[in-house]
Amino acid sequence: MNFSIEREKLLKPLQQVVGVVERRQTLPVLSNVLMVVDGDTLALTGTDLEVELVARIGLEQSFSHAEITVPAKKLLDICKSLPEESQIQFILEDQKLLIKAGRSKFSLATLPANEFPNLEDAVGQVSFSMNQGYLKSVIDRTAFAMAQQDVRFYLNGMLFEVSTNLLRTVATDGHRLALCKAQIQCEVEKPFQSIVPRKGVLELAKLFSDVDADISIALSGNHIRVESADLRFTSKLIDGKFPDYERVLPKQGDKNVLADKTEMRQCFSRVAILSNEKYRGVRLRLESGNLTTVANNPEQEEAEESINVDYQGGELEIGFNVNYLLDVLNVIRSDTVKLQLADSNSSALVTDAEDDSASYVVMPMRL
Amino acid sequence: MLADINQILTPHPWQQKQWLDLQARLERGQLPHALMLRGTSGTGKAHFAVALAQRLLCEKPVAQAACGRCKPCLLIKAGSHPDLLLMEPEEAGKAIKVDQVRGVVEFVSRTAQFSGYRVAVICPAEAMNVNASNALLKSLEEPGSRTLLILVTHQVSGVLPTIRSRCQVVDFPVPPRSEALTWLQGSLGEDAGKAERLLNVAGGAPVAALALSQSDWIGERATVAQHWLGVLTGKRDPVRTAESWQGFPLLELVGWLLAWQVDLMKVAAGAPAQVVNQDLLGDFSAVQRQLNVDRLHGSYLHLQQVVRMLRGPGNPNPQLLLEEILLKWSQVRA
Repeated sequence: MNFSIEREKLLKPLQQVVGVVERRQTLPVLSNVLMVVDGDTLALTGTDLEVELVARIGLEQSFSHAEITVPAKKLLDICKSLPEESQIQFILEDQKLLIKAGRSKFSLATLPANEFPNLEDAVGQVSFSMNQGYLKSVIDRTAFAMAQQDVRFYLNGMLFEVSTNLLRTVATDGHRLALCKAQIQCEVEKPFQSIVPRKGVLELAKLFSDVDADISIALSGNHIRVESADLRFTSKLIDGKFPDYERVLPKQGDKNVLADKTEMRQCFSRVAILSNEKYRGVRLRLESGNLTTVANNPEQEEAEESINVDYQGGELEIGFNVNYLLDVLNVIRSDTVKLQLADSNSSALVTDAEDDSASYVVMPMRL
Repeated sequence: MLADINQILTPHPWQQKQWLDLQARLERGQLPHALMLRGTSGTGKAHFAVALAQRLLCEKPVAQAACGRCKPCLLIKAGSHPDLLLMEPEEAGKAIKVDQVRGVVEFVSRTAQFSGYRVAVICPAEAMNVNASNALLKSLEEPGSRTLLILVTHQVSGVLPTIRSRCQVVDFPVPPRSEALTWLQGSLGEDAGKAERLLNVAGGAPVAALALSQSDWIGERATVAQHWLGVLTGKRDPVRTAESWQGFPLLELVGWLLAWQVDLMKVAAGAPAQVVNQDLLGDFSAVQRQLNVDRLHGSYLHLQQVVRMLRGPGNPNPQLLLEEILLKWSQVRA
């Protein structure tokens, strides 16, 4: 291995790859980054056995094929600390990687590339492409509802369901559910479901957010692989069955409430201050044209606020975890929010009044 | 330690029957999702478990064993195969903690990196405490497809019944003496007498015998035995003896004492032929008349308690522990 590259070209991809590698690794080879030079490309690979990220960087000229792994964090620190616009040269000599730039010289320990558990190229069972910003938006609108370290391990992630020309993302923690639809170009015989683990979902939204670029997504029984021009991200899936979310969506809601989103959010966050710190319960009282929110806590303190809403119908009193409502209001984009309720024991369906691509279900609380 | 295994293993000669049986079940697609390898310590069960895991993960097995050349095999040798999890206590002889077991649960809930099996080996299963065992139950009941959990146990009574009932048991009896001797001589490359002595000490378990030959203080065994019998006959002071035993690894030492007491009980019951430590038979017979069998049994139960204590989370004072053992022991004299 003997090649050179500008610091600026290497730094950003290297940072992204190192971001995937976990600090606390039991296996030394996993805290390393795999460097493969092939022709005029340099590929950097990092993995924590759950997610893998490959960054491809174009080189000025063609070099002979070589591969090696070196400690990721140290390589990044070296490249970061070198002066701007320096030309960095990498030479492999006697199982040591020599790094030269200007008058600095470093020699890094290496491990052979065949000990690195990188993924082979796999064929996706379902593949399609979509805009990066679009994918990020469908993830952002649902990711908050994913469970964290739930014993029902299939909830600690996000369901990606692909049917013909439609991608659905669904997340739930058993108390609330978020569902979002995206238009894609794809032909499948029957809906294909994959549960992407929490870490993979968050990394996806972080890595791919360029609204001007497309990515291709491939799903197989074991992996999800997302590829842009210079990055390839792969995550393992959760091996389980996601709950049947269709059955959770309330159908019989006949009490429709339209409200101003900002006003409602501010009202909820003020009232939330005096709700029970653990259970976060608030009481919503609906009358014609008016919504009153009440919270009280074990110290007998009380908060109450009314807002005007567009509602015709009988009176209804229902309790909710206010954090769940606020989470939903934070991801709704238009100014008006729509609540669909049935009675005080049934879940609420919350949607954007101007956009029905995302729906949210929040279970009520008995207060 | 299992994690230090950096080569491709094949089962020991005396494990051929179990190996062929599992291979046949694998070929018929009838491999269960959880296996419990059961038998006395030192017969190579962990070795067998790792060999089986390697065979399952290999892409192109040769003659029913891992090939050692494909990518998965190379990763196994490097200790970085993503679909293989080897779980053992963080410190030898201590418990497997619930956090470690949660790692297994997460491992089982994720899809495999390669398109083959996911294999987790837990060794020894009785080292899991109650919380750890309970955390494993759900995964042990229904892991995903093409998943194998291999639990190795030296003492099945120490494993929760709810764990045991979720596994298919494969038994590993102590191998026939001739087979064990041949293997041990082959591994030691030394005279037959030494192999025979070691095998005696190890109770016929060949892998344990091999480990003994590498331990530094096997030479001290005769001295320890003389001291121990001296305490019984009143020729040695228990507290002083405890002090002189300070340097020995406690768990192994107590293991020896346990084995000797079992032998003494056999002598007392008139079955000297059954004695495992035949080299000490003369000494045992000599003290036989001075024994109170009831108190001998009491001391045996106490030693078992000590083993549990040493395996547990606590950190007992070795001097006090040894004194207690030896004081109890000195009272066994009738």
